[in-house]
Amino acid sequence: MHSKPWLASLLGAFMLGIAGSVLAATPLKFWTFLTVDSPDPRSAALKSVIEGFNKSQTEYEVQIQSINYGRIDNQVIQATAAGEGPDIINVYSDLLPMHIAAKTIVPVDAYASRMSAAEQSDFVMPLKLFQEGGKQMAVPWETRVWLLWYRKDLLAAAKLQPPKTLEELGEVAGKLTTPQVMGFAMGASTGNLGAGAYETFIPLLWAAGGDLTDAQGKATFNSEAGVKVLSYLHDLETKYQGMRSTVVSMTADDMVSSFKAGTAAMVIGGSYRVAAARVGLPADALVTASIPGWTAAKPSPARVAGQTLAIGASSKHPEGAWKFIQYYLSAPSQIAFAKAGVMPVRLSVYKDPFFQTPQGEETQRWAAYARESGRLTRTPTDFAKLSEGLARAIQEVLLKNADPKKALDAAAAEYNAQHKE
Amino acid sequence: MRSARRLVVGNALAGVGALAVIAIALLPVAWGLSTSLKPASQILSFPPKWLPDPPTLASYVQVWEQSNLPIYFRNSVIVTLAALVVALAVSVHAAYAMARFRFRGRNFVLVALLATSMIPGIAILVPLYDLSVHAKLYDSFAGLVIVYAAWNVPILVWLLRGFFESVPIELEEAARIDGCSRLRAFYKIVLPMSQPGLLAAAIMVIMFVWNDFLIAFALTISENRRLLSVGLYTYISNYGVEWGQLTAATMIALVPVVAVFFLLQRRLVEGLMAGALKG
Repeated sequence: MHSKPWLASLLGAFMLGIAGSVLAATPLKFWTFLTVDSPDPRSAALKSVIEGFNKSQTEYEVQIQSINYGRIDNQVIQATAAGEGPDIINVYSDLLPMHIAAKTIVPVDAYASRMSAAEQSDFVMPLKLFQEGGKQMAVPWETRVWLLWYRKDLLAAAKLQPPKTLEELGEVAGKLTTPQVMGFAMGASTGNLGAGAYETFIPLLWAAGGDLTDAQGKATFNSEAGVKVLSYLHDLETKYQGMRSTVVSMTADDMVSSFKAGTAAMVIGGSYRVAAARVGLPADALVTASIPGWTAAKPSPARVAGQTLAIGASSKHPEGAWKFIQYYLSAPSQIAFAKAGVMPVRLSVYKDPFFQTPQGEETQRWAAYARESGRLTRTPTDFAKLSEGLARAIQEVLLKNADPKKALDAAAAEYNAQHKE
Repeated sequence: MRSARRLVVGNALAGVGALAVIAIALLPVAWGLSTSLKPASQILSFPPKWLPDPPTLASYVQVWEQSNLPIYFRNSVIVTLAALVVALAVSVHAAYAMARFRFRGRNFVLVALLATSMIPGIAILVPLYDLSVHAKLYDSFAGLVIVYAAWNVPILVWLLRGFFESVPIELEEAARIDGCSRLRAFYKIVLPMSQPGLLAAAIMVIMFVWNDFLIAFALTISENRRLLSVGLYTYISNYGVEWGQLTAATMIALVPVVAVFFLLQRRLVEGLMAGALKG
């Protein structure tokens, strides 16, 4: 009998191929706005989390796709409709209703229920805030809170103390304003979906006892509270002369750039931008504080939002997706992100020694502000229309001295007429 | 005398106007170059400084060594060259047929070709996306090359038709008498004589593909397939705009197109003028 070594080799190679494909890790597509290849410390943190997960087990391999934050939601919706959506999606909390309506994500109750009661309550923002119809749709991995940013160097040069009330803010802004510098700035442009205007308006509206919408999703920002806030913004320009009407052309990005350039001394900005804003600034120039309230008794409520992780509707490996999500939320991952300037969501993580450092202590303060008075905005699916309408109302008042009540009534009426929820 | 003075004044005004236009066009580029060479502390400083002090290549090092810009650059080169080859290959043959062959419906075909290039890209982006997914060409170089080539062929056919018509038919006939086939005469006689036109066509395709954002964004998703124009968006992040890195990446993206244009600008102008006159 002739031996056929070539046949044996071929069979062996075939069997190895089969075994290889069986043993090869199942790929999990993870779409996020963060990159792994950038000088940003968050990129390094994300890279370490993904590599850590892939090394910690052999069943799954996470493959990241980084998509610009302004485009990721459209691409997720598009891809899911084409059946090509990812397994794990990073969803911004404000846009969760939009993704739920577009059916890009599936409930995670089957997996979240495996978490112990202690684990489920170990979140800065309660998990129930990310439920829809009683179903858990996503879990947060990052918290962000809006704060008063002020340029310590500019206030010190003018021998001024940081404001504790909104009235003091107006007075301080007025004293800081020069032809080159605005004491206070906001992004009142309709650009970037009017987010700049919205982010400044909301905490003050809550502090005045109002809300953006009612339970049915109808706009209610034209209440007495809304009028009080818009009148105050107008007073910043006219009575205190601490802000100029040129803010109507500024987006949130422009506002931050102006702050960095020293042409705006105080702004209301998100905690997630602080680390990037400090690059290139003198040490300790950027200081954060709770947003002043109408009285010295308490600050304005903290507007809280965050990035969440959800399982994609197209995913064929939801179990693997949840495994990665759990790893992403683990203490080591959260601390890696905390060191990169991200506010963790797990309360227990704040006991880590890192939070005794100056950077960590600041993050603790933010978390405390979020816990004490934080509110998550439930945004409607047509949130962009609402925030742009609000920005236009602010512009009418700042540019044309329109009556705040009339401007807000018009914006609310326009939104309510087209709102379908 | 009066007319000579008028000529001098006219030329001077034209020169001033041209300089103003150049300044307006170049000012943002100059500012971008300056920003790309500034240390982080000077990028948003007020009052703004024109000259970096001291100039630094830190932003260039960051984008080239610490981000995926080299991958995006490579992808853009591959897709641009491939789209150029495919677009030219298809359009030279189509243009020759339009120039030399008389067939029923020829004018209709020409007009229809031109009409397709009038459709705004954004109007067919969704069907293109759907088509690419169903044809399994989504997120692939092949998908991009096909779309870019198809997008440019109509205008290239019109451009090159003019050049081919300008080649005396007697030369082709003489070649055919000597035993050349029609196709061989096309390759040996017509194409070499149409070099300005081919170069003009090449520059148009290169500039279109290199600068395109819409198609590249819609038809790709992975980092390994991302083109430079889309990759620049990476520096506009959720945490703010990375101005130093963005301007450095933009300067790097400008270099090939500017180099191609400067090397071939004379041919481009010759080509476009000749095509316009003869067409």
